[in-house]
Amino acid sequence: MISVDYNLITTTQAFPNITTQNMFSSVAADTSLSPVDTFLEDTDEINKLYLSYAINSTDDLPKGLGAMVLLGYTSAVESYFRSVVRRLVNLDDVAKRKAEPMTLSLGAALHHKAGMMPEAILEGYSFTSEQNIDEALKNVLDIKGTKPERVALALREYSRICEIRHCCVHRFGRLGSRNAIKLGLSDHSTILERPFAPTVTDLQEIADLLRTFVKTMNNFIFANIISRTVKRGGVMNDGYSWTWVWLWSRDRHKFKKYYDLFASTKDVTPSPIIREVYDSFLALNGPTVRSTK
Amino acid sequence: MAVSSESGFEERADQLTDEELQNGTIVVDHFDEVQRSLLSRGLVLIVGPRGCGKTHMMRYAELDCRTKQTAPFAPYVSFNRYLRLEPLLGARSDAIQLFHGWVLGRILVAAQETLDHIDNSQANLLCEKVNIAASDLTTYLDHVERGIPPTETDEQTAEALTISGVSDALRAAAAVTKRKRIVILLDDAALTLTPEFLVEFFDIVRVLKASDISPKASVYPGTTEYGPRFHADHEGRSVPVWLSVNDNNYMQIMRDIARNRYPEANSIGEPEHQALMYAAFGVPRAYLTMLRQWKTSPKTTEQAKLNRIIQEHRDARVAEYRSLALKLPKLATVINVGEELLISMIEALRDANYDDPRSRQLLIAIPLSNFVPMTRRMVNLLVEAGLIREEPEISHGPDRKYIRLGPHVGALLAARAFSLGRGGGARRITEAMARPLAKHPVRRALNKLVPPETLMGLRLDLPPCQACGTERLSDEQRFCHSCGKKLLSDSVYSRCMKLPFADVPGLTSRMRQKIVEQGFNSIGDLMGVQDPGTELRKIWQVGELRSRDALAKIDLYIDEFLS
Repeated sequence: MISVDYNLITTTQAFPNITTQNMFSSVAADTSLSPVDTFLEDTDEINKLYLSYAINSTDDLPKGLGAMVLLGYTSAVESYFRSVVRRLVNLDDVAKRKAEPMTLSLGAALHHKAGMMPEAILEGYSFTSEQNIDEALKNVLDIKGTKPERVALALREYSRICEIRHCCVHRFGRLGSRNAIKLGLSDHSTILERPFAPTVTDLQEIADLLRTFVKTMNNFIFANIISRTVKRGGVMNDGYSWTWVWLWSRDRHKFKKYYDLFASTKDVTPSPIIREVYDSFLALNGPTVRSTK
Repeated sequence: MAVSSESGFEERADQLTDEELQNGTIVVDHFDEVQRSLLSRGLVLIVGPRGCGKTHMMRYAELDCRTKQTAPFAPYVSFNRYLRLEPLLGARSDAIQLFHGWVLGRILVAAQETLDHIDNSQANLLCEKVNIAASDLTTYLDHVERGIPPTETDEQTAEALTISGVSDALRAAAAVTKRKRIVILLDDAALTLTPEFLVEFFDIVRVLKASDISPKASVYPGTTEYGPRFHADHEGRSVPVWLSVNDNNYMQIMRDIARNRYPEANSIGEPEHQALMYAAFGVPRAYLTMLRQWKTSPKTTEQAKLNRIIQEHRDARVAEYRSLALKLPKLATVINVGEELLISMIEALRDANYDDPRSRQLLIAIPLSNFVPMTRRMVNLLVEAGLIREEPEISHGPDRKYIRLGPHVGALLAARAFSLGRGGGARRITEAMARPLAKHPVRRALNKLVPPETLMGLRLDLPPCQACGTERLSDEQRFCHSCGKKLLSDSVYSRCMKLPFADVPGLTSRMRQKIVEQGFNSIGDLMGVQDPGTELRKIWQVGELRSRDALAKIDLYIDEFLS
């Protein structure tokens, strides 16, 4: 008599009845926040999660929590990019034109609100490496050319975190050889296949790095987009149907849209007020431009 | 503090002219050895508290090398303005890169100056070697030091400044001047107030080091942590430049310094003169300052004069130490308790000297096992301020190691640690200091010197979370554990900028009043405008000269605060 079935080498049970639609909050996310503020709020929550382990002054986190925190953080970074790109496509003429020929899934076209549709064209992008971000910026937002060194540096730093993220997503945090090569084999060859086990201090440094990365990119995208709207040498930028009047009362409405998309009110040091930002924009780009070198 | 008297006498080596330096430097064994190590091959850390002669030795080495064809090519660079870059850390994601460029840029500028002195036909050689325009470099350094947002050109300049590029440029300069090797004299390298910069700085130093390039850096005692990649003992060696009062030649060396830099010192009575030398605690600048006070102070009895000068000197040193709490408020408690420790050490030594009048006792030994990182840091702060001199550890068997600490002799003298009663102070001091050194230091447990409950209360005074007011858990914490928000680190620089003009010494009361009337309430208000000089000249009867003079005083004060 054979009591064992080789098809059941591990025991199983009936599937639980999962209703995924109930798992998402029925309350829509706060859309009045700028993408960078949403990112800060989301990550503030993550910080509380792991910092509660620092209260008893032990640096030991539960196994695996480090990887979870890192995933949460990188997910917040990705979400930031999606949100910025979507809102720019809705706001900025050039970005809109650039995104127009892109394909959209029928489901998104049928069920999304018009304003959310650009989010769907990004479903093919992942924002989890320098190249991915580069492509999205170029293909959707039309931001091209060599990046300033501080942006290049921010992207390099972010790439390192992305390597760890890759290990956390695909290998339960164990360091893979390809990731080790990218991180630098000379320092990482001896820790291949070791699990990712950060301390609370390490996580705070990763958090700081990612926040600085997002804010650097936020500054870069804002500066890049806003300065391409300027008419230079009497020539209107291709793709814009309007231009700045260089009077606060007349420019305010348009400028506020760009400002609101990138400014932060939730950061511990909030963005400068809109008028100050406008005045500095005017001083460096306005009609009576003094040499800015 | 730089003060020059009518005769043009100057205690600070960074304010001396080349001639004064060359003719006013004494050459004896102790300083010879430091000079040798400055010109030797390999990395050397020159260790000593403020005023002990580090800058002097380095500048002398540079001068000496200029004229000697066989000497190395030896530029002198000072990094005393490093704290002006501190605001970048809280504002720019590329702060470390900008600092990196600043350090290398400063080295290039200094090397060009040295080259110009040796051979003035090679203008801009070093900048050409790294492919940047000399004017771009000057603009870059000016921008980062004055906190002006770096332009795109600045960013490119910073990027072009690489360690290997600068090394090659230095080699080219050495080749032109037919020097076989290079010594880089890096002064004020104890960037103790910004650990982020300190780590980066010593990383640069480590990579600059080559078989033909020998970096020499001056640091404070008490700094032991140079970052994860730089190990002081492994990368090079440390040479103490702080002269010990127990050195056999101590009196002779001090006397020579006075003869060269302040010949009027001869007219002081011998016992008083000796007492001042001891009170200087091996710091030439302190000694010269006290000599000058002796000449300029009002006529009273010699005894009263001596007591007052020594006490004032002690008070000034303690005040300087306390001022650290102004720069780093988180250390306020540690600094206060440190002062308590110093006072009880002095009392313990006074008791020991009264008990045994045949020897002199200058040292306290505390078991190494009594220390935890926080108490160790407390002692290091006293050492860094030059209030305590740390002698090598001694061991009385396994697990019975002692650290040996010698409090400032000036403070001991001010507390009458050698002479009971009234009268004959100077003579008693010289007699006491001539006694043989006590065989063993006074041994004390740390909790006998400072009450245990005070030691238990030692902590960093960290500001609470600015968003929700929750107390921080530790110094390393970057986010609030209660609300998750970023914790702002506080900035020495911004604290300096918030200081009122009342704190700036040397400004006339009219000038102070008028500056405030112009709407400038703090140093930062004035220094933040495009051209502070123009603003000052708006004041009635203030022209080119007065505005420049006032700005120089404010600048000097900022430098003092930030060093």
